[in-house]
Amino acid sequence: MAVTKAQQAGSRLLLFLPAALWIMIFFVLPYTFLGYVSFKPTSSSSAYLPGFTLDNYVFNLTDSFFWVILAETLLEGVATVLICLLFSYPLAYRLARSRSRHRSLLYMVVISPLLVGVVIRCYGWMVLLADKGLINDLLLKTGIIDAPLPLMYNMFGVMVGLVQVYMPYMVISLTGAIQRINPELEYTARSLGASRFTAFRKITLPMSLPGIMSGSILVFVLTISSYAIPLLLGGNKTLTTPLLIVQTALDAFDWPGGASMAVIMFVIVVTLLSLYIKVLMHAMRGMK
Amino acid sequence: MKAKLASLLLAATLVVPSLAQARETLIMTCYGGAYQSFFESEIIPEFSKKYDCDIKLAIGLAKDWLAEMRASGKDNAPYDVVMMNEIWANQMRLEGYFAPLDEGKIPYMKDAFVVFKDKSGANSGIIGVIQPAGIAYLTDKVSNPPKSWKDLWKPEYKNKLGLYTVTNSMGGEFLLTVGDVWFGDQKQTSKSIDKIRELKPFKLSEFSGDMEKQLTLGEVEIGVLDTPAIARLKKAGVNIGWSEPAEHMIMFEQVFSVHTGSKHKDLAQAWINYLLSPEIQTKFVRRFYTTPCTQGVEVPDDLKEYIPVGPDGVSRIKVFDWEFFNANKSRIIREWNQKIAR
Repeated sequence: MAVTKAQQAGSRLLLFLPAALWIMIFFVLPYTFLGYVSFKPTSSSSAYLPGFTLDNYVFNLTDSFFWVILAETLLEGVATVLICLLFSYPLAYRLARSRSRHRSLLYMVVISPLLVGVVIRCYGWMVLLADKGLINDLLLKTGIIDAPLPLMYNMFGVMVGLVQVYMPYMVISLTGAIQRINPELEYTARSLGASRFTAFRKITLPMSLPGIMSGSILVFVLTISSYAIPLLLGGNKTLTTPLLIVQTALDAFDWPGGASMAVIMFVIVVTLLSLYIKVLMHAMRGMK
Repeated sequence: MKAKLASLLLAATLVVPSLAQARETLIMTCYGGAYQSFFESEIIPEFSKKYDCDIKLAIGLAKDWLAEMRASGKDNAPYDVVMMNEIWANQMRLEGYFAPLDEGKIPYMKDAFVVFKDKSGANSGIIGVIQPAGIAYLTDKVSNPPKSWKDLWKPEYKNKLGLYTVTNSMGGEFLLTVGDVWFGDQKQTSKSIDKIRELKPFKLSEFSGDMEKQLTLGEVEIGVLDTPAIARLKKAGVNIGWSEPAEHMIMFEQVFSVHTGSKHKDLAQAWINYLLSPEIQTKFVRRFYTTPCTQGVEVPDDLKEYIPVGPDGVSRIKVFDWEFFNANKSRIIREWNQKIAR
């Protein structure tokens, strides 16, 4: 019996339905409510007042402190992406091209940071980076330094934590992309006289752009929305937009203020990522 | 057939009343870890047996409970009994989330050292746990410990201090204390933040566990800590001392309230009365080294070494104007972020 077009459409819809429902319930609805709350007047004695206002947006958009923190958060995201990319690419290349029987073990090592909770990992870093931590202790005892280095409770400590936690996402994305590149292309380029670096620059790097794009988006989004790492390793001295939003919404009880900050951040991040994707897509089209 | 019908009817008459008298269940907010295990093993079973009820603990932190209460509304209580710090409880009391407490149903309320009233003047919150706080210091590093809050500004303590961020209740209390001791007015928060800025550089803690960790590791040599934490650290072998500040002490406290929308208000009040009873207060003292919250409960002799503040010392603990603080919290946090957390 022939399957009609209507039946085909029905089965496609059925396949789509669970994901659509999931996104509707856990993404669209909360964000809609967030947007709704962001337009409510703030109150110090209830969640918000009746009516609607633009005051929360006007306040945040004209607040230089909010912009400074947002800019620092975005820069922190860009820096984490760049460092992760720099460290991950050689590793991903080696993983992708490896024919070792220990390859699966190497994968496990790469993703091992994800097997431990983020708070536990942060406490591990604290043991190493604290003023009286192992690194400073060792440097002091060997006479290399006279006073402890400020390795924690600053941006350096936060970056160390972020790079370690999010690097596996970059490695996995890059490995997948590099594996899809036919190694024969590199060998051919080398046989035609291209240096190892030229073959990498002209063939491997451009063809791995999809992996760079997905890895950098993942790492960027996770970094700028990170809460526990800046809180624990920043020691309340490295303020990021998520910390500011939580402070505003939960500590200061200003739900509308916090919601408007979240919406502004969301819009800016979506805009920046759209531009980034557009530029990379353009570059990838140019390769073809 | 008739016999079967008769037995069914008999069964129904037996089952229906038992369903109607189903056990009541109280839900109370509670912190995880030691508090949770203490309540579950040492507090709940006896009450549960006596009142033929169940007590369930909603494990979390005040921020979570507040968000849940606000999201649920005043008439739809996610918790029957709310235990939290006064900085948070004050806010919810003002918003009308806590019911008046009846002294007839909580006879031990008359013995409590601190009872909070709502806008109408009715009693609506009782402090059931007191952890007095003052100045902690490492005895092997600080030979001349600070004796007052003002002492913290002495040059000899520069670069040795640990404080709380202002979003922590102890951080809020310290800020109001600075206003009180330096400017004679808790509400001088801008001046107080500037004054605290003079103490830089110092480490900031988000919660008392972090302060304990920093003192234990020697990351800070002087900090603000409660006496139960000092007792724990002393027992763990940390060389730590504690000074009661000359001006006044501050505290971590737990306030018990009944949710306005609770369907079990009588049982909830019986539960609070039970928590305030000398027997349970003594259990708190023994387990957590807390200071008794009601008259008639003394610190046992064998614990006096670890509990420096007895019932007679409660009057030396400052109770702050959280209504002012909460109403200005956005501004205070903002100013703190700009001047301290940068």
